[in-house]
Amino acid sequence: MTTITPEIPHFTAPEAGPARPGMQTLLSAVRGRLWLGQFAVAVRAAAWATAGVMLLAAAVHATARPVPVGAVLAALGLIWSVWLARAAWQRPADRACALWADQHLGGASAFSTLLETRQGARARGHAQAVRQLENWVSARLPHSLRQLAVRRDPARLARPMLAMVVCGALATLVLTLPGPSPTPQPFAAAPAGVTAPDAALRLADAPEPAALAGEIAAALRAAPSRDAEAAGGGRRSPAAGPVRADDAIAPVRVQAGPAPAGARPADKPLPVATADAASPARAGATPAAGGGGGREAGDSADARAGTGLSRALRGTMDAQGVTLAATRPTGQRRVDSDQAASYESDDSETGRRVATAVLNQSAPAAATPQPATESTRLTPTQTSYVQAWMKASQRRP
Amino acid sequence: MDEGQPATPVIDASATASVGASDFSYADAHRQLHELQAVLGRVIVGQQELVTHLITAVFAGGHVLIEGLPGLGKTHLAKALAAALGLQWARVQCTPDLMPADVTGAEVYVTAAGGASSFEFRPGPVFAQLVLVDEINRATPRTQAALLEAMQERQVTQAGVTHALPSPFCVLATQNPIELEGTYPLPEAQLDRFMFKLTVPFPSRTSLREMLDVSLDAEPADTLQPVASPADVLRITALCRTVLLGERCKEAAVDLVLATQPLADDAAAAADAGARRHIRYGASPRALQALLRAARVRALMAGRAHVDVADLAAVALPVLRHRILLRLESELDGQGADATLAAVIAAWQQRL
Repeated sequence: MTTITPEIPHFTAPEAGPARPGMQTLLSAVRGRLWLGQFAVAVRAAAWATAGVMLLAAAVHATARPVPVGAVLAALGLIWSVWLARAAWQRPADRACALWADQHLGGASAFSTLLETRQGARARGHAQAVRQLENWVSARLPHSLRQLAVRRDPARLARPMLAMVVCGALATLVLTLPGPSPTPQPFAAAPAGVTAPDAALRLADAPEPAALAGEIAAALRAAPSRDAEAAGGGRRSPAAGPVRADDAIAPVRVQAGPAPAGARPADKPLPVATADAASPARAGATPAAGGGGGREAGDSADARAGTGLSRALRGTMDAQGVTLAATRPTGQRRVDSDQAASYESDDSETGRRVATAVLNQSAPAAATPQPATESTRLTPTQTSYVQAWMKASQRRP
Repeated sequence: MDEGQPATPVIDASATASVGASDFSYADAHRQLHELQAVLGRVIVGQQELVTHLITAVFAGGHVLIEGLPGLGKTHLAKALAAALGLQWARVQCTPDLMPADVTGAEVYVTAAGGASSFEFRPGPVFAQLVLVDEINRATPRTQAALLEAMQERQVTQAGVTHALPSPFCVLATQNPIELEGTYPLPEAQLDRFMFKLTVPFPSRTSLREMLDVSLDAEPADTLQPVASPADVLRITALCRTVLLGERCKEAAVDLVLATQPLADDAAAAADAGARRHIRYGASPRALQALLRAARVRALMAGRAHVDVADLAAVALPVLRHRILLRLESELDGQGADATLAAVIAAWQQRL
C-alpha cells in the first residue's frame, strides 16, 4: 500500500519555477526499469535452461552416445537468443508503466488515472478534477523519480548463474571424456587351459557382477549333475554326497525340513535317539519335532503323523515314536503316517517292528557339508570366474 | 417519540439538483471536510475513526447503522453532526408498538377556521435531514420496512400522494448488540440499504479522561457552531461524484466484492481457501457502488481528485461488514464478520 508524502500539496496549483519533469519522463524511466527487469527474467530463465541442457548433454554423453560439443553450443545459443529476443520484443506499454509507478512509486493510482483521462474522453465532464489530477501528478513526479533512482530491484541471478556454471563445468568434464563403449558381449567361457595370470588379465573386461554370478551358479549346478550321472542314477538325492564316517553316529537333532541332505549308509540302522531326543519332556518342543515353538511345539505334521497319539499323551509317549518322527524325511514320514494309521490297532510290538523295517531302508540323513572331492572341485574356468567375481565384488562399495 | 428541531429550512430536492460542483472547488471541500473532522473530534473524544467514517457516509449520500453498547455517545454523535452541518434533525426511539405512520407521518382530519375541513398530511420525523433512529431493531418489521423504504426511495407515499424527503437526507440508526430479547433483527435486504455499519469501540483511558474535561458539566453538541450548511453538504456531495476513478480502482473494487463471495463447496475444501470458506453469502452489487462512492469522499478528504486503492481499503470494512453472512459452522467456531473481512481485505491488498 502506498502512502502519500506530506510534501504534496492538496488541491493547489503547481508552483511557478523550474520546469517540472513531465509524465513521459517518468514513464520512460519506468519503461527502462521494466525492460531491464524483463531482461533479468530472460537471463534467469536462459541460465536455468542452459544448466538443464548441459546436464542433459552430459547424461546422454555418459550413458548413451557421444554428444558433439557443437550441437550443445548450438542449442544453448538458440535458447539464449529466444529468451533475449522475447524480452527485447515485449516493450512495456505506457499503461503498464503507469500502473507500476502507481504501485511502487507512491503514485496512488494517479499516473494510470491521468493516462486514462488523456487517452479517453471519459473524463470530459470532469475538467476540474483532471486539472487537479495533473497538478497532483506534477507535484508527485519529482518524488517518484527520486524513488525510482534509489530503488534497487534484486535481479536474483545468483542461483541460476551458479547452477549454469556448475552444470557447465560438469558438462565440460564429461564431454571431454571418450564416449561410452559399445554394449559388452556375453562373457564367453575361458578356454580350459587358462592360467591364473591369464585370468587376471581378463579381469579388466570382466562381465557385470550379476551376469558373472549367473554364470557361476550355472557352472556350480552343472557339477553335481555330472556327479549324479557318474554315480549311476541311484535313489539318493542328486545333491547327496558321499557318506562320512561320523554322519551315521551323529545325534539326530535337526533337519525337520523336507530336503534330505547328506547320506546315511543304507545298511546301518538308524541310531536310537540321543538323550536329548529321547527325553519325553523335551521331545515335543525340540525344533526337530515341531515346526513351531511354545504351544505349537510338537504340532507339526511330522509329530501328528508319526505317533497318532493324542496331545495329552504326548508327554508320556514312547520315546521311540518321537525319535522316528524326528529323524525321517518328510516324504517317508507321510508314508509312515498311513502305515501308522493301520498299525494303530495292531499290537505295539508289531508296529514297532514294521516302523523299524521302514526306517532301515536307505533314507538320507541329516545335512552335512558336502565333502570336497575330486569330482566337485571347480574347473580352471570356473575358478577364474570365481576369482574374477570375488575381485569385482571387492571393488564394489 | 420524536422531536423535530427545525434548525435550517428544508431544502427542496428539486432545487438542490441544480447545485453543481463547478462553483465549489476541491480545495474548499477538502478544507471543510477537515474542519468538520476537527470539530467533531473535539466533541466526540477518542473516536476519530468513527467520526471520519460518519462524515464519509454523510457526504457519500449514504445511511449509517451504528452498533454499540449504551452510553458510548451514539446519540451525542448524531446531535453533534447535525449541529456541525446545520442540519435539521429528528429522533425516533423505536419500540415494538411503534407504527409506520409514527415514522412517515399520517393524514389527519383538519377543520379550518372557515368551517371547511379536509385531510392534511402531517409529516413524521422521517422528514428531517438527519434522522436518528434509536434501537431500530426494537421496532416491528412493518415499521422497519416503512422506514427503510423511505431511506431507499427518499420519498414517502401517503394516500396516493408522494412526498419527497428533504435533501440532504441521512439516517443514523443505532442498535444494541446486547439485550436481544424482544427485538427484530434487521433482515439482510434491509441491512443492505445502509452504506456503512459502524461499531463504536470503548474509548481508551486517555479518551475517557479527556471526556471528563469536555462533557462533564455541559453538552458540547448544544453549543457547537456549524462549520457548513446543508447547501455545502450538497455541493460537496456533488463534487465527490466528479472525483476521478481509474480503471485500476474499478478493477480493484470489483475484485474486492468478488473476494467476499462464498466459494463453491469443492473449492471451500481446498487448503488455500482462506477466509472465504467462512462466508455463506457475499456482498451485493450495491456494496460495490457504496464502496466506490465512499472511496471518492475519502479521496477528497485525502486531498486528491482521484481515487486510490488505499481509499477503497479504508472504507472496505464498514461497507462490507453487514453485507456478508458467515456459515453457521464458522459462527459457532467464534469466527466474526470483522475477522473474516480483515483476512479477505488483507489478501486482496496483497494481490493489488
